[in-house]
Amino acid sequence: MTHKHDIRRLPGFNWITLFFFLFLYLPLIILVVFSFNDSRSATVWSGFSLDWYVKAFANDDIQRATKNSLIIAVCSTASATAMATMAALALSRNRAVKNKKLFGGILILPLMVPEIVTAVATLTFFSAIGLSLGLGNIIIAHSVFCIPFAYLPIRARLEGMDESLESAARDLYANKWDTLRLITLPLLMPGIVSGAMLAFIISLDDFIITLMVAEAGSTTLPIYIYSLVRVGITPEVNAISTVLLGVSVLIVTVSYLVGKKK
Amino acid sequence: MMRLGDMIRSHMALIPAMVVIGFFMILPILIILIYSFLAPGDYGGVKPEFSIDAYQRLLFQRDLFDHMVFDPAYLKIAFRSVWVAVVSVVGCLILGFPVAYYIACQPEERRNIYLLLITIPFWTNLLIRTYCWILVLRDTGLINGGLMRLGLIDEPLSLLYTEGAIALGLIYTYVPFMVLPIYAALERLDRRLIEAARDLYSSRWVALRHVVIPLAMPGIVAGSILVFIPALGAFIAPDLLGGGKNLMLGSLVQLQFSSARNWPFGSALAMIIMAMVLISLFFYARSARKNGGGIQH
Amino acid sequence: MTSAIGLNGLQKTYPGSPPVRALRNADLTINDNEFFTLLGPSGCGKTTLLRLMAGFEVPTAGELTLFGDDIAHLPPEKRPINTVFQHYSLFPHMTVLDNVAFGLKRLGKPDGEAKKMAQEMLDLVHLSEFGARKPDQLSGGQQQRVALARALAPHPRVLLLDEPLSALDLKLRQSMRAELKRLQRETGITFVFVTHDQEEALAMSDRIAVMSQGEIQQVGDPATIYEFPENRFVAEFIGDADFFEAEALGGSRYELSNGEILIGPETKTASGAEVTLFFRPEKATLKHAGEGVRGRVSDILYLGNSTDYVVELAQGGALTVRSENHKDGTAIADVGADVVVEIDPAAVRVVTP
Repeated sequence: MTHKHDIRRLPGFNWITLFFFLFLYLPLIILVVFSFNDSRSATVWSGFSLDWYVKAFANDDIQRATKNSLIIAVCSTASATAMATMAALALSRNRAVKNKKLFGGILILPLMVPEIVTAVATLTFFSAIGLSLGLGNIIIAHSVFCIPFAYLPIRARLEGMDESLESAARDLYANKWDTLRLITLPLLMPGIVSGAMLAFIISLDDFIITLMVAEAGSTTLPIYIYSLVRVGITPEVNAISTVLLGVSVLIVTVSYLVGKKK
Repeated sequence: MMRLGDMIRSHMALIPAMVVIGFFMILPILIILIYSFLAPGDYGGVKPEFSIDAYQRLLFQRDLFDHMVFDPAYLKIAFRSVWVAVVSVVGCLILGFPVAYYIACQPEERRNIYLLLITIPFWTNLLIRTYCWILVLRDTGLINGGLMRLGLIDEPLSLLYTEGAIALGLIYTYVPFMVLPIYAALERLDRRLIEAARDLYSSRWVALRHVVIPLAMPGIVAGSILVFIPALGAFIAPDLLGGGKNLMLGSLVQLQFSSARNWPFGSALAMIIMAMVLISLFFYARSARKNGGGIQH
Repeated sequence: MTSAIGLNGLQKTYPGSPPVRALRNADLTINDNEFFTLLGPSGCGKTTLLRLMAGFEVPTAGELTLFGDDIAHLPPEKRPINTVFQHYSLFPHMTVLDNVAFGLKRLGKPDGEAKKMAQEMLDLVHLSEFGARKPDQLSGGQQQRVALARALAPHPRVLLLDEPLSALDLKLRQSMRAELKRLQRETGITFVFVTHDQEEALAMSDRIAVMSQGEIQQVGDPATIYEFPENRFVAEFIGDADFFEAEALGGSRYELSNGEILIGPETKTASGAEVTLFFRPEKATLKHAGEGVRGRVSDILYLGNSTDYVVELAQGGALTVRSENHKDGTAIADVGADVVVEIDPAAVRVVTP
């Protein structure tokens, strides 16, 4: 309320911030608005219509791409979250593990390497060992770079957790597995859910790694959209994109709310 | 002294993640390092012959008389990538710093909403968001359409397929990476320091220059690195917004593994990108040690 | 007296540069059905000792026995010892009843029986109606009683309490002290209580171990510790104390530095030796003339039920004399008055530094 007289206030910064958010959201607004446009034009409004959504949902290619994207996302999320949870527990709770910094660094390595390098490396590796599992290839590649995204929220939650709760459980005759099952994991769940949701979106949205690693017939939604962008832009792209956008926003908001819960 | 069996058991939970990352990330990177020193296969892939052809190609070409002639084409692409990445960092700074500052000055509840609003676009599909800039920048796009309707111009401005468009796309993509670390650094800043500066005859801007910016420097450096590194190897923005005439390293690499079919060359380029990343990280680590800062996740 | 817990040369050192010797060579016997307190300032090692008994730390050396059995390397879930944690550590995602029943279920009691026993425990701590609530819906005092019930439910042989009253406000603390003593007597379980509050220790304990810097300074019942502290640390840590230097003249005579003679305790200390004498402020009387140490009143502190007179001594240094305010609290002497501090020789002790 009093921030107008805040000693720190710098004039003009509020306008820049406004411009910033407009800049950030303008493309998204155009995208969403024109997906409901009653004509092919992506810049001239002719009236409200759900035609493009109908066309998009009836499209076989889109259905296939969506199915692939979902399968990949679910599988990668499951494996990445499982591995990240185990790693987070080992690094945070296990006193016997030395070199925690080294292991922690390796866990977030996929974040430090530029995506194009990861894409190329994964492609050459699969080709070198002759791995050809169709969607399986993509799932493996996604699992790797989803690990850090799942790991970070889980670790944050674990560090904020009261260690004495686990001591209390052991004091009351719970062995290590019971403590994990009854105390640690239930309390860790918001972090695990947050991590899983992040991993899910990252996998769903991934483009360059998927593009390079995918074999024929393993089209995902982003790859399909890319092909349309090259060929000719139709508002169907707007429609699918808006749906994808809606799903992502929903997941991010839920993940944020879950992460805030004590 | 721990026995091997005990060691394995206590590190058990770490093993799956380590194996997966080691086997599917670290090992592959070593493989492309090796590939960059092999000869290209006839139908793509590689031939098991040692060759420094790939690295030579960066700087030299064979001319009609089979001599090695200096060819700046690829060097230009590399410099363009660095140049555009630097421009993007500067753009992100100019736009991102005031925003981070503004948000840090807001009351607590509002701050979280702003932060959420910044992160939401980040989690949505980059391809789609970049594609929207095509809609805005192209000859029949929003900007040109609007300017022409207002009668300010007769011919559409050539906004798309320029280096500027790429920079805009990169700024758009990575500006949250600049805002968040700077915000984190500013949020920790004790406002009483600013009060002290103002008390000692500094104007707002002088206080900014002499108190705020130096103390926020770890965040500024972290943000710059977080923008620079991905911008170097970016693919989507350069590809969609740059077109064929403004190739950057990312698109060039992808080309080698699709139509150009020169895997060793692509690997060499990827190695160059990695080298640039490692160099930037090295300078970052050195400056972080001097300033006592660090990247906060 | 059966020994419940026995320590023999128990040590705990944490690695580091330099290494931290949290517990140095502790020897102690805690008896069955005893309310035993570990008392000392922060960092004295009392919490380390408690954690060693609970099993959260493994000793670097020495023996730890429970009713004769060596438990030093037994994990916490295998020891029939339970802990009431300083911040209660109630499981936030379980109801109060499930919290209290937790230990019983882990010990193999079937669900129905565990819940019944848990409810009985809640009755014992006067929280019968709170079984279905979650910990965050309870006040601090109620949470503390749940923590108590949870730790008592499995009927441990020893109950450890880690400064359980420190987070409560004064009145609640005082009523909980009585509650805890009652519980100990009713259940007959050995209580090992950790605190830094010496008033609490004196009020509640059968015996006290005063600790400082990893070592046990003195073990005894409250009266012995208060009246006959064995060294300066114990004398200063428990209650208030007055010290002054004197030269032993043999027998029960001591010479102060300005030549005054004081009659104190009989001692075998050789004549001419420098000693430190000590007494409790409330055991001295302020007089205007007579036998005793001469000085001048430099400050008066009104404390409600008593008044402290700070007396600067003719020989240097100062003493505090505490006088109960029987009538209306008017001061016995004014600031600046010349007075004599009269001390009963039986109340003076020689103390080792």
